[in-house]
Amino acid sequence: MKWLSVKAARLMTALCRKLGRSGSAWPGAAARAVDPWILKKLAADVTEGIIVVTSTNGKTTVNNLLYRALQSQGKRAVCNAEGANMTNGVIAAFLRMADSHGKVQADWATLEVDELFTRKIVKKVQPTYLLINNLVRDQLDRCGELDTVAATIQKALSFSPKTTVLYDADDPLVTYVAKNCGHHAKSFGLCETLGSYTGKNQGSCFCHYCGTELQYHGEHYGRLGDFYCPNCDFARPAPDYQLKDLTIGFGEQTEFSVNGEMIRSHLPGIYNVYNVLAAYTAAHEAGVSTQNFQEALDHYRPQNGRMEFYQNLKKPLVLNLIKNPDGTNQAISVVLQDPRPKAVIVIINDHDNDGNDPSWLWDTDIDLMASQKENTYYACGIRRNDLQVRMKYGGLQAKLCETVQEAINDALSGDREVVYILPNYSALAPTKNFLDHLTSNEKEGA
Amino acid sequence: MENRKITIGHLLPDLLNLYGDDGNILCLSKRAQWRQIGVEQQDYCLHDPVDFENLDILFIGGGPDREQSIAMDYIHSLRSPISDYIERGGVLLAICGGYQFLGRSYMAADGSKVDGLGLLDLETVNGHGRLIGNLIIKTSLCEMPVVGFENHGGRTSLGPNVNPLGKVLYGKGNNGHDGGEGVLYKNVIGTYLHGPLLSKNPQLCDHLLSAALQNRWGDGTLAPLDDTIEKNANAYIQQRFLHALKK
Repeated sequence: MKWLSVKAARLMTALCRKLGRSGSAWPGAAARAVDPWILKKLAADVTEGIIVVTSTNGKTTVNNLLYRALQSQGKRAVCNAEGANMTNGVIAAFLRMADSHGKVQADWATLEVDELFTRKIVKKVQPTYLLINNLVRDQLDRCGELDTVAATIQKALSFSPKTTVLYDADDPLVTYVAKNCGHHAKSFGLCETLGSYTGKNQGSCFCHYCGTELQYHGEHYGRLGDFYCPNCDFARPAPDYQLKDLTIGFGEQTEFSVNGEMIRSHLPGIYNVYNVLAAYTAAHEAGVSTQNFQEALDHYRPQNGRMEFYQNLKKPLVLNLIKNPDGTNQAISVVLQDPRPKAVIVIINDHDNDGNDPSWLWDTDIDLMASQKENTYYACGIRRNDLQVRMKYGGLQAKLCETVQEAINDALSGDREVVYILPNYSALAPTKNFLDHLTSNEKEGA
Repeated sequence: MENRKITIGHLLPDLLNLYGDDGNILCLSKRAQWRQIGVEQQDYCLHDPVDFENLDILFIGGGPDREQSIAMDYIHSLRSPISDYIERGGVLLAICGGYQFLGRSYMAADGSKVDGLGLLDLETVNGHGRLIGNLIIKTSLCEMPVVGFENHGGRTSLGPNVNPLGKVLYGKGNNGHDGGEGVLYKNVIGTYLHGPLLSKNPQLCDHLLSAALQNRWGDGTLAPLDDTIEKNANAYIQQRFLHALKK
């Protein structure tokens, strides 16, 4: 059955290629149609361990970094690097490492999994580690309330009792999930004061046990920090992986130590400090040396529109996916750290995978950008009118552009020094395609 | 020379704040300030006293189930002053969970009945599945249709002593079958419309401001503003959903 199932997937891959479709989910669907247990069988071939990465934001960055780290340690690893994080995408990732007999040739698998799909996937792959980096409010019409997401992950863990949970101790909801599931768990967190960034508090900051408002020792980054409940004994545990000696730079290196080992990172923003810390924790647990992790990090270039830098256009350009308030605020904080006058293009669609309701734009700190007087703004995407209203009430005058191409061309030929593009989910791929097209034109021109 | 000013209060912003609803306060404040009308904003956190005498607009949003249950005791403690405030014509905007609180009862996600404030003649029960999608209604309060997004599991039925805020042109509304959306009673608006509500409906926003100014200063007049951007966003929703319906 397994052999036949893998064969079906291979046929589908060939067919997709012939039809010019890049969809990474189709081969997985074909394999599953032939053998509903295919994922369990493929996962059983992995010899050393499986890591499942889930959280609201930063899954792709953490997972890809982890993949590179395992490779630099000399491990063969399965990875859904392009971010197809539901059942079919995960199956497709295993299939890419399967030999002609349908046997997966890998030491490790590192898989990013959509929060709502953890239930199905964790049950089948029985991961060695489940990594939870953060849980914040996401697309409400698709995902439902945050507590429902947390309950789904707990349920997933109940199907895989031997899984060790790796979690961000600074996130109250994540800590609650880790504490409540009764699994073996190891935590990471910042033992360090942060800069002056104060965003809106997103999601719950009330004790999950007794309902009292949580307090923090020292500064905190949104809901993340050294929290404690003044009424009961719920509090941040002392992290097993402690981040200290943090210096954050923009355009230069960010440095910090984890349990005394120095790490240098070129990824911008505090949220990337958490992403790197999460990846380091899982890599270290999987036996990757700090030196090999550092080497992987040095060579890691963000892709798929996660703070992706384009250097070969008329102006430097940064592309970063935004899909919920928390992630958008992180992107805005990076925009604000860059002192250059800039053009900011925001693209908001409302397809099912974006969430049909763009109300969440009003939960973002878009208003903070009004402090930089020399920027220009563009509102694009299906819901560009909504976006333009949001920007107006945030003190920003945005130019409405019917197409992304028009906005990008205008921004590149204008007099601002750098261009930031912030698309939501379904707007990302067409934007990337256009930027790749521009990049290849520039090369031909030169 | 404009010397009018108003106070806008937000009940439990840290607990009842689903999906951009506090944008309504931003809309009210900006549209007052753009007309040189002074605005004071008050956030009421758990157990804070509320000075209803000096309050001109009260906003109550909705929250996740757990947060709403944390909020409940405090909200019940304010029942009597909120009732007086409503009866003397105080302006109140309540969205989603906040709207449900105003009625006799609603249901938690697990189906258990929760006592509301019983201030308005309405009741909410759970139905099969959530009502999610764009929503367009026509209300007597303004000329433009009111547009937004609904996402609620509860089905609300109005009693004979209150009227719906408007008639559903597209979407589901209060319960998906009687064609009504929201509630209108004196200067109280309760509704399922997110968006946030006042962002794409500047006339409704001005209606609330005007009522509040009339109450406080005996003068509810408002200078006109350029609402091209807001009206375009409103028109887009109408075109996309209403016109598609007519085809």
